[in-house]
Amino acid sequence: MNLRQWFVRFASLFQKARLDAELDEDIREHLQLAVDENLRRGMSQEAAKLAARRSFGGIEQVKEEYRDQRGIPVYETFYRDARLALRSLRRNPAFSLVAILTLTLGIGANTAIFSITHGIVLRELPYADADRLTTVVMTNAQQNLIRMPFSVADYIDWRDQNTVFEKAAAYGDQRFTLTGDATPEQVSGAVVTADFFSVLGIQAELGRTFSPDDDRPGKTPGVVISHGLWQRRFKGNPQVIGQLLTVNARDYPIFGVMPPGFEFGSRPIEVWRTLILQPPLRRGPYFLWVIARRKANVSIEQAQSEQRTIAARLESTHPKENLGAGIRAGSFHEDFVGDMRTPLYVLLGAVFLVLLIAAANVANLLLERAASREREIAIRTALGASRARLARQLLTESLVLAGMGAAFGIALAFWGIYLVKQLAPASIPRLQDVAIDTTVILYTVGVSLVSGILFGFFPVFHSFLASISDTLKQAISKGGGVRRRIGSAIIIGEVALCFILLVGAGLLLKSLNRLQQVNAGFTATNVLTTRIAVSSAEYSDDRLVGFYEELISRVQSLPGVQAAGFGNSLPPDILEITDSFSIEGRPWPREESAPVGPVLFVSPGYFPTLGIPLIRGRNFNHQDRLNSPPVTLINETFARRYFPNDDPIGKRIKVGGPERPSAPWMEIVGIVGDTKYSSLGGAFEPARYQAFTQVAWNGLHLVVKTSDDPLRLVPALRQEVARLDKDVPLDRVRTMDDAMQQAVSEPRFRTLLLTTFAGLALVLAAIGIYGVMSYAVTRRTREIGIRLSLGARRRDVLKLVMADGLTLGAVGIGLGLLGAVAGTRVLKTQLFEVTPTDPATFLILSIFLFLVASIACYVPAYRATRVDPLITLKYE
Amino acid sequence: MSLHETNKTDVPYGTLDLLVLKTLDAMGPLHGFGIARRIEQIAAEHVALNQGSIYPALLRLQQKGWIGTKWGSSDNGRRAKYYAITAKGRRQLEAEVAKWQRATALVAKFLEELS
Repeated sequence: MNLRQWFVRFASLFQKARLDAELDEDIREHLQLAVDENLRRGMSQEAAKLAARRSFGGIEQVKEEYRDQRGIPVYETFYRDARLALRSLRRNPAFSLVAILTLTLGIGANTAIFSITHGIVLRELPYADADRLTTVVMTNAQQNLIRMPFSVADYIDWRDQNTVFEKAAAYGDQRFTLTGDATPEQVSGAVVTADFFSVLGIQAELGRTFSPDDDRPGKTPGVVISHGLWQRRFKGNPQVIGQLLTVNARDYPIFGVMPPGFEFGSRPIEVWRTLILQPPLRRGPYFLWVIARRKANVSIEQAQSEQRTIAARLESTHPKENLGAGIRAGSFHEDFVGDMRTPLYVLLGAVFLVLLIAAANVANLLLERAASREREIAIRTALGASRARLARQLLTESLVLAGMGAAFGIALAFWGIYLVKQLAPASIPRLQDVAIDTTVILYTVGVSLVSGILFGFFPVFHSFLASISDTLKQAISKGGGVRRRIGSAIIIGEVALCFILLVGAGLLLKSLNRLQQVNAGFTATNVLTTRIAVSSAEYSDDRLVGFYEELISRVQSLPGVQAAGFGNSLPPDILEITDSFSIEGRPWPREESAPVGPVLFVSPGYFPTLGIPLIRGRNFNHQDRLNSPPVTLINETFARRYFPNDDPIGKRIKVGGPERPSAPWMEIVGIVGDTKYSSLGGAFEPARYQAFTQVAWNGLHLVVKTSDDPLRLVPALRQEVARLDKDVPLDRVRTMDDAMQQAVSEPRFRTLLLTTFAGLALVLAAIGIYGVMSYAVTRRTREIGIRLSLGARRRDVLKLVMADGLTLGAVGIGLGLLGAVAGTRVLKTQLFEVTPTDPATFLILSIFLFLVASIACYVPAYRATRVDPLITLKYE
Repeated sequence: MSLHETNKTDVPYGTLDLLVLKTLDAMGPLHGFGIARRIEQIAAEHVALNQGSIYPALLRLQQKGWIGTKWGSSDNGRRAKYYAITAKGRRQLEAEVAKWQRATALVAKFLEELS
């Protein structure tokens, strides 16, 4: 067809009535002329009419052919079939409701999870040429570290040697205390080198970001603030540029305001401060993360090969400090959302299985209907409808169903996404930007089309198998065999898919349960925590220690307080410092990694407050001061690992190795119980503690044990802190119970979602089994009647029907077992202390699913036993 | 189709367009009945024509721009739609005729040579 014809045909769609009328007129005139001619030949009126009709041929066929020629045939037929389908759906409201509801659940779940996956993992990051952004990290083969920050020295060397990157920037996360005119508050912040924003290719909304040389020594450091902070703290005042913001008690000029929605990393950062790169005295500490923009046409692999060269050069220049150190370049996108990929793909797989089960159920419903329509279809075939035409009609009905499922499914997905945003832990990056966009709609339409064709295929297949002439004679008994075989296949498939989902959810549940029962080495009950940091510039070391000591003594005297203490890290997952150490008299072995472990600065009250036992030796006390001999406590793991044969108490250790000669030796005075600081799922690490009075560390977590609800203490606590220093905010106030909950919030959320989908699958599968079995019983009513009248007991009938259904269920579970063994491997990284083929989970869920299948079979089977032999025998 | 006409064949697929064009070219504007009768008269012994089937063909030719329509009155004075060949249709007819003649000549030659 050429363009003109398309146009004419398209235009015809809108002039149907006129064109139809014209054709009618044409035909009428044609017949009249024929009759006239026949009359002239001497025929009677009757004969003339008949002859005219005969030579014209089938009027309706001509009209049909004419209409096909006139419009766009596919559209025309589809339109007519769709209207027919809608009419037949309206005639069977119960069928339509169940089918559409089933599809809505299946398609809605798919749409929601796909839009979340798309929004978080697949969608390009909102930075200029985001595919060229590269994360560069250091590695250390000696210490088994595959991802660690740079030190300033390593960063500067690296920056000056690399050739594959257009621009690079380093940044480090920090908590900032904002003081000044408004109420003091703590915000998430970052120190960044000058090119940070230009690497990302993002401009300021107001003012400017940092200039290329802003990070050179001697430059005045400044800050860029987030849109949110600008609105909140400065009421959106456009004159804010150049004003001073007091960050950690120092004033910084505000250079610019970032646009709303600018996001980097998973935490919402509100203040970026220039990081002035001072020429370093030593290599370390390691705190700089690096992001760089590859030059156009440089691949990750090319970049990586240069990193190896640079790392090798650095290792040979600094053989001691950089022993085993490597540099690794990877896609920033991958780095940013890589962790989310597997869990989301697992969920996507899960909802796809749910959709398959939903489609199977709808196929089943359609089959049932096709069976009851066998006569209708046979009659239409006999009247001349072609098989292709009938198939098209049946498929159209399925597509109309799928279309409605898609429409309601998208509505359901809107709600689902809203719910997920409310319930999901805040640590999931980009979740709040997730929305149903064109890509998602296209995906949904695609999925609906495919599933519509999938389940629409069954009734078509069925109607083709049932031979036409046979059907007219004995539609019921003939079609039943085909129907039963397809029904059996559907049950087996549904049970198998459902089992896979159940096992997945079961494994996650078990893993979550294990995780929640992990012994983290402390008691969380009735403990309040908040982080307290002073404006460092105004505090000397002595004053800082004094402030914390005074605060503790005041808190301890508050009513209801049983114990209180400070620590710079906090179980189960806030670990501020990990550092290497040396043991006196044991030089670092050349070829081995330097020993490392968590370092904490705590007050004596820290241990009793968190219920961490003192195993041996003594706790810190008030005699451990800045100028007294440095002492340290170690945990049991430390003692076991490094002093397996001798008593650690009285031995001396120090921070770092030979490269830090000035670090003082510290005497081990006691051993405390093990506590987890890195994560609940991790192992106990060899931790060591120092008295905060000997370190003067700013930024400590207060822990307070109370006799009842710890949150009731907050107002009094706030008052005490303000009385000591009005510029000190209470940051991250929560109970340790909450901290424990938050530590498992991501796995719990994943588990919740997968369990929801598994539950949905279970309900759908049960409905499916019930439907197929009910149908089978209806089909076999006559047979059952005969059996009963020949003396079969009702119990035998029950057994007979149940055996059929349960055989299918068992085969389904068997197939599901195979599928689950192959499939649960994808969960491996999400499981804690549970293997993907955990026999107990498999066994329990097999039994559970078998029971559910039994119940779904029992109802129709029971109904079969109620069959009245007399009525059934009259039935035919 | 009537039973006593079994020795005739249906109009070969694709040739009805050519027959209609040629009829209109030779006879000038005609209404549908006139076209159908004309084809029947000429081809009476060879084909069985369902007169109705010329209407989809007429529409097809219109869509291609090879024929046009106008309203006129029939022999007995009633309103009827008249079809007439267009210049474009005439060119198409010439091309079709030439093609047809080449094809039949080829087939004839084949049948002759190989018999």
